[in-house]
Amino acid sequence: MRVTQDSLVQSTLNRLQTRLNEHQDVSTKVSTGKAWQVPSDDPARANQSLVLRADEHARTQQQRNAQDAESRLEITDSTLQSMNDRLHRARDLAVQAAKGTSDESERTAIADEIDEIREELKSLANTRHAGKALFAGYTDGPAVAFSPEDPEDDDELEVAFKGDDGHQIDRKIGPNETVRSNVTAAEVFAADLDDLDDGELNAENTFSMLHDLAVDVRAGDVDKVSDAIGDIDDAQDRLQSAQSSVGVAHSRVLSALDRSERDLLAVQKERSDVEDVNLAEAIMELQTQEVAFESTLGSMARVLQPSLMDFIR
Amino acid sequence: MSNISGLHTAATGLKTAQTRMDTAAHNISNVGTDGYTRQRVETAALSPQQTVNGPVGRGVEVTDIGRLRDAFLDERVRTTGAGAEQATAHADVLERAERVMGEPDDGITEAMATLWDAFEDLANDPSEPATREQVLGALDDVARRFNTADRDLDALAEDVTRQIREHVDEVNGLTAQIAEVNEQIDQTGAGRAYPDLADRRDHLVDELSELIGARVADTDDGSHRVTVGGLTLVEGSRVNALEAEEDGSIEHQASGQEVPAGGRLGGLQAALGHEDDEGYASLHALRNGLDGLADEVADQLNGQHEQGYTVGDGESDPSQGDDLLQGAGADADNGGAAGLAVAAGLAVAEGLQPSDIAAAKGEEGGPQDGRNAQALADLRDAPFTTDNGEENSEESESGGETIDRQLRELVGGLASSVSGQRRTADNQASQAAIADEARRGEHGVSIDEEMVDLMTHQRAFEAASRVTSTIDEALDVLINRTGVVGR
Repeated sequence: MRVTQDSLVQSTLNRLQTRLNEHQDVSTKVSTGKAWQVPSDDPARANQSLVLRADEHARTQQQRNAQDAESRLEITDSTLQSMNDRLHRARDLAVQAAKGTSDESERTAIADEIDEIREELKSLANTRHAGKALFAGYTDGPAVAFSPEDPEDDDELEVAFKGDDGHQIDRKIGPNETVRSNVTAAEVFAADLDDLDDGELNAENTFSMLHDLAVDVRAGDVDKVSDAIGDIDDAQDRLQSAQSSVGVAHSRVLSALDRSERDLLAVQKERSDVEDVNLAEAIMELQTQEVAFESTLGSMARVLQPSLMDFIR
Repeated sequence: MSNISGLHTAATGLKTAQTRMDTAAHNISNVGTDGYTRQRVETAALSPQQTVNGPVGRGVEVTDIGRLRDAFLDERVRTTGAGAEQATAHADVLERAERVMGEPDDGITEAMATLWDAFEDLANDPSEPATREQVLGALDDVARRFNTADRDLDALAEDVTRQIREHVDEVNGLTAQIAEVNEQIDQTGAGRAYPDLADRRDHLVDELSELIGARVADTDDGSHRVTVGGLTLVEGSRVNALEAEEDGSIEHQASGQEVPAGGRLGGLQAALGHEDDEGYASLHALRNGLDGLADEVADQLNGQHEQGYTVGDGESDPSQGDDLLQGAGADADNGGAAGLAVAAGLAVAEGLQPSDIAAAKGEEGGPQDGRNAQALADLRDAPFTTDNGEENSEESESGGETIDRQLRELVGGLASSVSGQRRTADNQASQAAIADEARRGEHGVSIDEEMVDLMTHQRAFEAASRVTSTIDEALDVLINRTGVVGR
C-alpha cells in the first residue's frame, strides 16, 4: 500500500483517537467506580442490576414490615403476660373466697379487688401502641367496652368487643411469608366467638364472669365461687393459647429478620458485583492505557517528523 | 538535419521539464488540501522528422496532466462511509434516548420501587395520614417520570426531524454545486483546469454520499449522474431537488417518490422510526412502548384499587376505590390511537385526596385494615387479577407480566439495541477509516516523491539548457569563426 504524508497523519490521528477513547472509558470507570455508566454499556448486567435493585427494595421493605410486626408482637406479648398475672391473682382470690372462712369485710375486700382486676383487664385490652388500639383488629377501638360502664351488683354486665378472629393484621416479612401481627380482645376474652353478634357479646366472656364472681363473693355464695374457679382456668387457657400463638409469630418474625438481614447483604453484594468496578483491575488497565497512549504519541513524533527535506540541501 | 531543429528539440525538453516542475509545485502546494488528487504529467516523444539519414527525433510533448485517481477506491470509501454515518447517526440518537430514560438511578424503575414501598408502608399503618400522603407523592412521581420521559423523547424526535430538514437543505445545496461543476467541466473540456474541477466534484459527491448515501452511476452518454436508490439527484447540469416531509420522510420532487436515503439521513430516519413501530430501535417505538407501559400501570393499579374500600368518617360512608391514575388516553379505549397520549398525560386522578385511597379490603374494614394496600404492593411480584380471576394471566393485556418486568424489558431492550447499534457503528467506522486511509495513500501527495521528482526535473531542465547552449556554441563557431581566414 502506498503511504503518503496525508494517510500517515490520518491513520496516526485515528489511532490516537482510539487510544484516547479507550483511556477515557477506563478513567470514567475508575472515577465513577461503576463498571458501566448506562445500561447499553452492558445490557445483560444492567438487566441483572435492575432485578437486584427491585429485590433489594422489596427485601428492605420486608425488613421494615418485620420490625413493625416485631414491636407490635412484643407489646402484645407483654400485655398478654400482664393480663395473665391479673387473672392468676383473680384465681387466688377466688380460691381464698371459696374456702368460706372469710368474714364479710374480707369478702368485700376480695370482691373489690376482683372488680379492680376486671377494670385493669379492660384497660389492658384497650392498650394503644403508637396511637393504634392493639386488640381492636381493623377498628380504631376501644377493643372492649362495658355496659353499664360501672355495673352495680344487681346489673348484668354486657361487653362489646370490636374486632374478631377475622381481623387479621398480616405483615409481609419475606418474599412468600406473611405473619399475623395481632390478636383481638374477642379472641382472648370471649368463650365462644360464634356468639359474637356484631361485636356485642352477652354470653360467656372473662369480664362478665369476673363481674359475676365479685357479686357471688360479696354474697358469700361459696358453691358458685368454687364453680367460678373452673371458669377462671378456662379464661387462663384462652389467654395462654393467644399468648402462645403470639409467641410463635414473634419467633417467626425474629428468624425472618435474621434471614432477611443475611439475604439483603447477599443481594447487596451481588448488586455491587454487577454494578461496581473492580478497582485494582481498572487501575491496572488505566496504567496500561496510559503507557499505550504515550507510546502512540512517541511513535507519532518519530514518524511524522522526518522527510526527504531534512536530508537534501 | 539542421542545427536549428536541435535547438527546437531542446526547447521542448525545457518546456516539458518546466511543466513537470510546475505540476510538482502544484502537488506540494496542495499537500494539505482535502480531496486533492496528486497530478502527473504524461509525456510522449514527438513524431520524428524524416531526413536523408532516416528519422530524427523532434523532442517531447506533454500529452496530458492527469489525476492519479482510482474510481474503485472512491466507491469503497463512499459505501463504507455512508454505512458508518448511517449507523453512527442512528446510535447517537438512541444513546440520547437512553440518557433521557435515566435508568437505573433516576428512571421510572426507581419511582415504581418507591411506590411499592409506599403502598406497603400504608398497609403497615393505614390510619396514619402521612403514609397516605406518601402514596400520593409516590404516585405523582411515577406519573411525572412517565410525562418527562415522553416529553423528552418527543423533543428528541423533534430535534431529529429538524436535523433531517437541515440535512436535506444541505443535500440540495450540494447537488446544485455538483451541477455547476459539471457545467464548468463541460465548457472547459480537457485541459489544465480539468483535474482540479474533477477533484472538487468528487469531494462534493463524497459529502453527498455521507449525507444521503448517494452514488455515481454510469451513463451511456458519458455524462455525470448521481443517484440515491435509483432516483437521480444530478445529471449533468440538471438537478432534482429533495424535500423533507413533516414525518421525517424525504420526497424526490421530480418523481414524487420517497427517497430511500442512506448515510446520515438514513440513520436519522431509522432512529425516528414510524408511528406504529414496535421494539426498541426507534424513538417512535420507544414512545409506543412507554405508552403501553403507562397504560398498564394505570390499568393494574386502578384495577386493584377498585377492589378496596376507603374508610368512612362521620360524614361519608366507606366507598369502593376510584381511579388512582388517569391518562389522557385512558378512557379512549375505543380509538386506535388510544394509547398514544397515555405516557404524556399520565397523572394522579384529579382531586384524589389522601382519604380516597382504598387501603381496606372490606366495606366494614375499619381504619386499621391495610389489606388492599398490601394487595397493591404485591403487584410488585404478581400481575393484577380480579377477584373472580377474570383477567387472568392468559387473557390480560399484559400477558401475565408484572409492571416491573415489563419496565425492565423496555430498559433492557433499549440498552441492547443501543449497544448493538453502537457496535455496528464502530465496525462500519473502522472499515470506513481503512478505506479512507487507503484512498489517502493512493490519491494523496507524498512530499518525498515530489521532491525526488522536482530534483529529477531540475536536472532535466539543466541538461536541456546545456543542450541549447551547446548548439548555440556550435552555431557561434559556424557563424562567427568560420571563413575568417586572413582577416
